[in-house]
Amino acid sequence: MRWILSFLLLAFLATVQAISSSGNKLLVVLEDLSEKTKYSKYLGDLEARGFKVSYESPKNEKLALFELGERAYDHLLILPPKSKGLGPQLTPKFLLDFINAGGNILLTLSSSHPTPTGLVSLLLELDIHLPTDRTALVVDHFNYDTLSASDKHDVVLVPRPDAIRPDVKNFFRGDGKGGEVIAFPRGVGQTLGNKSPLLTPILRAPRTAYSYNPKEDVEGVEDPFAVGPQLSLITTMQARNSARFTVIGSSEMLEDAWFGGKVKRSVGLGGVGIGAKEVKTSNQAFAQEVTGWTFNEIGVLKVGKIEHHLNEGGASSNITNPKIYRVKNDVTYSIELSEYSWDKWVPFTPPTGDVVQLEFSMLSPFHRLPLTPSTTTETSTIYTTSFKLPDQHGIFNFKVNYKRPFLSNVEEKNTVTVRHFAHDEWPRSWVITSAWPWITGIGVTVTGWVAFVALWLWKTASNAAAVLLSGDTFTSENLSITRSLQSTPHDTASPNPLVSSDSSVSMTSTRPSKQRSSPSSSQSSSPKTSNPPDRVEKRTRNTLAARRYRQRRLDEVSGLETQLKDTRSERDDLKVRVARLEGEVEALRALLAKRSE
Amino acid sequence: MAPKRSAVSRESTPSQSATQTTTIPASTPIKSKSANQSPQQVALGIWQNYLDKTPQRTKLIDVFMAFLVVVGVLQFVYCVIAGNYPFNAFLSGFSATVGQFVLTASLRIQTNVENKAEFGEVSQERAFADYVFGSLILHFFCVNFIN
Repeated sequence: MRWILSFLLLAFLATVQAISSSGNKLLVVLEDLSEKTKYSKYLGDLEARGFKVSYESPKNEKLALFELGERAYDHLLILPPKSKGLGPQLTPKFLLDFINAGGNILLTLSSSHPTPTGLVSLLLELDIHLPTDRTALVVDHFNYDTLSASDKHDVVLVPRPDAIRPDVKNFFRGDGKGGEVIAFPRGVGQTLGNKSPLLTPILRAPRTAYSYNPKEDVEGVEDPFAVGPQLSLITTMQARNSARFTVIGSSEMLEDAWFGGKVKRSVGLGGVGIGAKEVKTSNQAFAQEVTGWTFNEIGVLKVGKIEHHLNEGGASSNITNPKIYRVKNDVTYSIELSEYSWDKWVPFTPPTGDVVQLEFSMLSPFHRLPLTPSTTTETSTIYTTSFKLPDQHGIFNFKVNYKRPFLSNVEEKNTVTVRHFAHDEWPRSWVITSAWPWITGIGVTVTGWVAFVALWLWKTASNAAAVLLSGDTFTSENLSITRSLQSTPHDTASPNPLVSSDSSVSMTSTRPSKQRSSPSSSQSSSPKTSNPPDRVEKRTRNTLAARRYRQRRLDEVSGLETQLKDTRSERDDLKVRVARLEGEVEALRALLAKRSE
Repeated sequence: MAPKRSAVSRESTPSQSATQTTTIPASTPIKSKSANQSPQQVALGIWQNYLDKTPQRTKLIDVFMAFLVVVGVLQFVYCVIAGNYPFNAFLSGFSATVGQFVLTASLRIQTNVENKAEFGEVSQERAFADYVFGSLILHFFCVNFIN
């Protein structure tokens, strides 16, 4: 039972909320309820569009914009009060809180009732300035209604406004045929500070209009508050949370009398409008557009699905919205955008000359790319772009920051990590052609090294073999050589093989020998003749001496070794003998002991 | 093994010095006693001295080192001419050659007979094993770094 109830409630809410994109609870602040009849057409339109309108007097004690800390209404329409104040519940602070909480406010002014100081300071807070004379109104001697204000010229006739910039959507142009006229009777013009980027005028005064205080009895105006297009007749402010605030300078233009009333324009500058006919004002349609915009019925953007995924080599990955990418990855990003139009979501298309852009940013954007519409559904357009991630690792944001006049703000951030190349993700060296010479360098070095090591090892092995071999042959050869050397008498020369030729020379000089002295003398006198045979002979003698020396050492060592062996065996024999003798001694002692017992 | 080799080397030194003293005068018969030889002759003398005096093994090392110098210079010249685009490739190729040169130089120092006094406790086999081990590490590093 309960679930059926809740289901019904949900269904009911759904149908009701189809009116404005942000709720339908509208509070109309109206001091005198009898005045309601003056605005019956306007308020009737609102109710017909589905707003749940409640009327409150600013003097009502129970009036409250907030209930338990929540907004009690979605929208607020303030019609000009006759009294000087708006009461304790509609102070500038509460109104600003209401905007900060996302509520929309439509404020109307009138020159017949001075604007309450509370509202003046609220407007000042938003950088909207009103004339210092409380009763000043906008007058134009060239664009007035000859039917109702032929004398005072205070009903200004204004054509439908153009877009403030060519690349901004114009929601207030009606059907766009032209020739429509808006009556702006006895309104208050505002000037805008040029510091605030949130302020946008919808309707500006014509060139010849100026602000004039009829209560001053001065002939002509010496120092008007503002003139021409400086005067904004209808001003909007869209806060950063997309809450909307609109000031309409003339509450009278919303009255029944001007909704469909007939006007006839005066002769303007340069004879424009001579022979003008009576036309119906387009106040009703224009008021609907302004109110609709203020109460979030048009110009509201909604972000649907946001997707980004890897798109390496044209093949898109199945994993959507991964948390991590690598530098230089190919990535596709898509965002779904819808726009609310009176009672339904429609695909959003930016005006010509404007594009939705994607920023890929870490502190500052590395990429700022246009998003192009790829597919359109019934209620939305999907914008997409593909790009290569920058060669920079870190924490990045996919950011769509689309803030335009008269469109609600879109600021979407998706944070991803961008890592650098893993060790095995770099291109292999042989893939890069210009690395080949150095690959060859390594190859040649390694090959050379292998060859060197092989040669070295082979040489070591052959050397060892040679040493072993020479050791074997040497012993057998040696004896014969020494024998032959001993037999030859010539061998009496250098007995010491280590003595160099120099010392042998010195020896010859000190020692007077018959055989040696003569060759040495001949050597000194004619070295080149005697040298070669002498050298060869010396070398042979030297090698022989070396061999003998080596052999002698070998013999010595072997002799010592045999001696050692002999001594050892003798020692072992003695040890055995000692052991035997000791055994005998023990046995004999035992015998002796037995005997004595 | 070691004492035998030392004996051989001790035996070979005097004979070589003897040949040296005799060969140089043979090539310069007139100015044999005078000190001013032409640079060409000095160079030739040094070369001859090197050929006579250096053991076969050291000569082998020298040939390998000369080969490495040639390879290294070629790589560097290529880098100067063609640019260092895969810089890691240049680094690893060049450092393979230079590192091999350094290792070989230290092997030459350790195995040289003249340096027996300083490296008496390092046997020839030990020096060569160290050299092979170091070289293998170097080659592994270079091949890894060039990717």
